[in-house]
Amino acid sequence: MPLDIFLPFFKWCDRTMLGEWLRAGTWQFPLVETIHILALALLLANIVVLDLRLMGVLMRGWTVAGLTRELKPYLNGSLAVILTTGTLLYLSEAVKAFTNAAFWFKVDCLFLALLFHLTVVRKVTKHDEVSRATGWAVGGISLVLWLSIGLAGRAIAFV
Amino acid sequence: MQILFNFCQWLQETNLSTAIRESTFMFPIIEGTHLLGIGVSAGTIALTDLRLLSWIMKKDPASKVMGSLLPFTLGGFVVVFITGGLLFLSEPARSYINPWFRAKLALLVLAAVNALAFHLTIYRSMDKWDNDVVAPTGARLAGALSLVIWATVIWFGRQFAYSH
Repeated sequence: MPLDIFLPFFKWCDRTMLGEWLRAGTWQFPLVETIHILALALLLANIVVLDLRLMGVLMRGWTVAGLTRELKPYLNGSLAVILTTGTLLYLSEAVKAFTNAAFWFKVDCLFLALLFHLTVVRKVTKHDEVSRATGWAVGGISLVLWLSIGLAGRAIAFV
Repeated sequence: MQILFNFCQWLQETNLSTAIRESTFMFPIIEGTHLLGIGVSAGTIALTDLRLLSWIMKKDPASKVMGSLLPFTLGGFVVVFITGGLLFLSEPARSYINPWFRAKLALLVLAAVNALAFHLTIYRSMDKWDNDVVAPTGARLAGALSLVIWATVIWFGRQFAYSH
């Protein structure tokens, strides 16, 4: 499997101090996961609100650029928390994650979502108004990517 | 309450309950959808609370922010209550006796009381403070309480899932 070149890295992650700490007791993992889900709530709300504004469905009392500016600290803040806690959760079961199809799907979607956000979304949301076609395409792709990440994350525990 | 427990046991033996419990895909899909619903409902409630606390969208009237976010919250609620109901239905007896689940329900009631109290009091005089950067103490208190209650609801929900 071509992914096998990553296996030593996953094994190393599994042995890190943080990974060990998360496995050391019964409360660490639930605590970090709860913070992860709280961040998910705030992040998802920001994403959904911005995407539906891009589509022109809701939040039309704000310009695209204006709404983006208002929500930016909360979107970036929740993103920072969710990436940090997500990394911690990964470290606690890196080797297990290596063979988990949902984990890889989530990583792929996350990579695409971040790439899309930092390039296309960032560029489009600089404008006050966007065309209907652009709004639906950009908002739609963003929505599908982020919701897939959430579903895939939940699926990791089940596959 | 023996009668409620008996009812939960009866529920657990219904076909739908057994179907969800024993299906490989149904439970994860419902739970995943529940999670996304939490994101939209609790997340937009948090944004509303942040406006009451004047941390966000300060230049916009509070009523405009609340009214614009409400469809998201209500839409999220529909998803979260339907999927939550189905998750409960799949294991009613276990849920009934679980202290985390009971505490979560109590907090949901508390969240409703908080929202109702806000709507019956401070919300009625909103036209007086709608454009104020700093909302009155009562409004800020309702916002802060709501943030804490909903975060705890999520926390208890997660603990509930762990306490098999």
